[in-house]
Amino acid sequence: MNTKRIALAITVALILQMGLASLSVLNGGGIDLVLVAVVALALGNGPIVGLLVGAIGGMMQDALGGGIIGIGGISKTLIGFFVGSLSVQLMVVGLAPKFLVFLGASQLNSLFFIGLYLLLGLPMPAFSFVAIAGHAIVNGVVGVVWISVIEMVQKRVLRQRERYKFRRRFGTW
Amino acid sequence: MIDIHRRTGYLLATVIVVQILLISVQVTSSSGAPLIQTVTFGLLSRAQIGLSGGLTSLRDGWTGYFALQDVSKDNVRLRQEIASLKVRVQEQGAMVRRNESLRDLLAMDRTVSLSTVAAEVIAGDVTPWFRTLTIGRGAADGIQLDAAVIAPDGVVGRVVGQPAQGAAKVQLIIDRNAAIGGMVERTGVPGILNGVEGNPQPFVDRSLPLNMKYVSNLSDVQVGDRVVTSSIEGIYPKGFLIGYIERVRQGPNLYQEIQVRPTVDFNALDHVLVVMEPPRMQEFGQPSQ
Repeated sequence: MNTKRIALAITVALILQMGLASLSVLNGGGIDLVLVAVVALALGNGPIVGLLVGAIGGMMQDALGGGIIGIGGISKTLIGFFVGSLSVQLMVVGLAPKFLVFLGASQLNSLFFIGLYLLLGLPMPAFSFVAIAGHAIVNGVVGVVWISVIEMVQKRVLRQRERYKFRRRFGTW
Repeated sequence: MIDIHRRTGYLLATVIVVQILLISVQVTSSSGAPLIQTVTFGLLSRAQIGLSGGLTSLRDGWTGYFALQDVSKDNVRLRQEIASLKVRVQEQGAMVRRNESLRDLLAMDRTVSLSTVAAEVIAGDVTPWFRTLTIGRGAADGIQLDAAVIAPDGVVGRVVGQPAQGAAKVQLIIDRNAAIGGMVERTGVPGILNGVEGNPQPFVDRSLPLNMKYVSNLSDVQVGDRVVTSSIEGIYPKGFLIGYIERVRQGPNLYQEIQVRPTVDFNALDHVLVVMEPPRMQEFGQPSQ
C-alpha cells in the first residue's frame, strides 16, 4: 500500500469519526474509527506504517477531542507498533483472529490512555472497565467489517483487471 | 545512516519522545490555555465547521426534497422561537422567585438582563473520554473562557479552553471534572454538583445523573425537588434550572448522598445560548467584614 492510500485511509477515518460525532449518531458508543484504521493498516503494512499512522491519527484525535495532545498519540503509536510487529511474526487470517486483534488492541489502547493520565497525575477522564470492554467489542466488530469490505473491493478490482487483460489479449467472442 | 526498516525501535523511540515533549509543553504551561492546543483547535475546528456545514446541507437537502421545503423551514423557525421563549420564561421565573424572597430585605433591580448569543452545536465528543461539545461561535463573536452555556431546558455547561475564531469547546455539566454550585429551590439548601465518577453504561454516555455533594444530613431535601444554580462559582447566572432530585439517602458521615437528574437532554442539543457576561459580584455575595 503506498503513502497516498495510507494517508487517504487515515483521513477518511478521521472524517467519519468527526461525522459520527457531529451527527450525534452512536455518540459515546465508543466507536474509535481512527484506532480501527491504525490496526487495519498495521496488520497489512507492518510496524513502521502502524506506528507512524498511530502517531499522526492519535494526535489529530487528541487535538479535536480536547484532551492533552500526545496522550492518545502515544497510545495509538504503541498499538500501531505492536499490531504491526505481530503481523510480521504471525499470519492473522480469518475473521475470528482479526476480531481478537481488534478487541485486544482496543482494550490495550484504553489502558495505555488511562495509564498515561495516571502517570502524569492529570485529572482522569471518566471511565469504567465495563465501558472499555463494550468499546472493545464495538471496535472489534467495526474493524472486521472494515477489513472485509476493503478485501472485497480489492478482489473485485483485481478480477476486473484480469478480465480486461484477457480481453485485450484474445478479444471478445 | 540508520535504515529505519531495520531499526524500527529507533523510529518508535523518536516518535514517543517527540510526543512526550509535546505533552510536557502542555502540562507545564503556566498560562491557562496552551498555545499549541489553541492553535491546533483553531485550525481543526475550521474543518469541523466545514464538515458540519456539509452534513447540515446534505441533511437539509434530503429532508426538504419531497416538497417539504416550507414545512421544514417553518418547523425550524418555530423550534427556534419555542427555544428562545422557553429560555425567557425560565429567566423571568428565576427573576420573580428571587424578587419575592428578597423584596422586603434588599432594594434590588427588578430586571435581570442576560446578554446571550445563540450558537449551533457543530460537533459532539470526538473521543469517548470527555463529555464536551463544540459550538459554532468563538472569539470573533465575543465568546470568552468560562462563559456559561444554557439551553431552553436548563444549564448545559461552560466554555473551556481558549475559543477559536469561529468555534469554542463546551464542557458539559455531566463531565466528571465539571462542578457547578446549586441549591434546592424549595428550601434554599446549597450544594456542589458534579458528574458521576464512572461511565456506567457504554452506550448511553450522556444520560448520566449528577451528584450533589456537601448537603448536610439534617437538611430538608426530597425526591422531586428542583435544583437551580446558586451562582456561587461566579460562572452561571443564578436561578437557572439544573435538574430534579432523583434519589436521596442519608450518608455515613455528615452529608447526604443525592443524585440529580439533569433536565437538559444532552443527546439532542442542536442550539444553545452562551451567556456573554459573568454574573454580577453582588449576586453571589460580598465577603463579610
